[in-house]
Amino acid sequence: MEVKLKINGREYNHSIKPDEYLLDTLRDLGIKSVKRGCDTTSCGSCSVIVDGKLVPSCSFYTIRAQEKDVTTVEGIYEEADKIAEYITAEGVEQCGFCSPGLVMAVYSMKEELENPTLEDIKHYLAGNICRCSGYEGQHRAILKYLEVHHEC
Amino acid sequence: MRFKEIVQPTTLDQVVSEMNNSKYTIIGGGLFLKLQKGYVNKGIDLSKLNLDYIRDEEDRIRIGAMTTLRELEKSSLFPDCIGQSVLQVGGVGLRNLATIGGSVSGKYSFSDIGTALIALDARLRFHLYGEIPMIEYLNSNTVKNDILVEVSFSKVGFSSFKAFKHNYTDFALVNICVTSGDKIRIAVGARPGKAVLIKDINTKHNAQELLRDVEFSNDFRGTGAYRRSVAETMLSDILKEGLFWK
Repeated sequence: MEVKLKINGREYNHSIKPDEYLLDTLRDLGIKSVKRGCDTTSCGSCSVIVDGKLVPSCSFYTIRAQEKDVTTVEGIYEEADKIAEYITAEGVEQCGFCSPGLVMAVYSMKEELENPTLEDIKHYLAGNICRCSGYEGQHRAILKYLEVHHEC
Repeated sequence: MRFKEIVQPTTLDQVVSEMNNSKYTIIGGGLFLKLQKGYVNKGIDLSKLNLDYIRDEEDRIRIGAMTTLRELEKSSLFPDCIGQSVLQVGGVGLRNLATIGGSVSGKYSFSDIGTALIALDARLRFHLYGEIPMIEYLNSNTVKNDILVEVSFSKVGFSSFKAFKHNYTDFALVNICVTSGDKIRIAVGARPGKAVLIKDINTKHNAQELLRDVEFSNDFRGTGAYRRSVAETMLSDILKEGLFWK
């Protein structure tokens, strides 16, 4: 079936399977920052933002994305770059597979919460799993990023 | 679960009409459908029905079946136990997709929100059947081939929910909820069987006595004895908390 999608501000006409998930559609369209991790809504690697809400694209039907704004790391490149600076500075960027999902979650949290505490950060990011670096470094990096960029 | 076709009706009557035409599955949040195997001709997506609402009425709170768990978490209208019960259901992304209707209509025994709703004496409104108490819905097959439209419950004074999990976003090993409105009600879920309700509470009884007749079983997550011990401790904590705020 044919769908019209708006991804990172650009409109696409695309042919999908009726029960296709957004993760597959995005990767078909060449948007490769979105990763297939667990494929069961548990790891957060496929996180994208749909109409301002963080969602796991592995479990979000593409037909539900019609008439909505879909945002991936490619659409927030400058902000993603800033977040990545802090993540790498804390040595948290190892295999990097989970990073796009983490960046989307951090971006979404910054949009949604005003001055999040460490506890808020831990809670918000509980659905983003990293098997390389652990979480202490991530939390340090995010706190520093928010401290500098909270006004943005 | 795979579908040959997904339809997106905009009215409940259209949903009924789609249900009459072929083998179907209703899609709420769609999260557990993703994990299920099988092929179904038609998926009926409820996301276009405007069933995502929270209404605060004089003595009752009404929640549209497609309201997400994240919306429940963020709203300040609810008794404490509602926010507490959804807080550790996966991550924020999952809670932005998971719906109250999907959590309830699936009759999932591990459900956290389900246990809280039973303690709140929630009622379910189905499009064709009408209203039914949630506990009755869980324990019978009275409602079939229908669409859950709304979940509602009366306002209560004190309420508290606790769950014991191996890790932050896991399913509960056991969960428990206490509400105190005109009566005290205790619901125990993830035993691992369906949630059960303890009513007609004798307030002189301690946690051990209150849970005496509740059956706890073994599964790969833990033994029944372990579950009972954890449940007794959680209930004891809640009862102390309740007395403190009384």
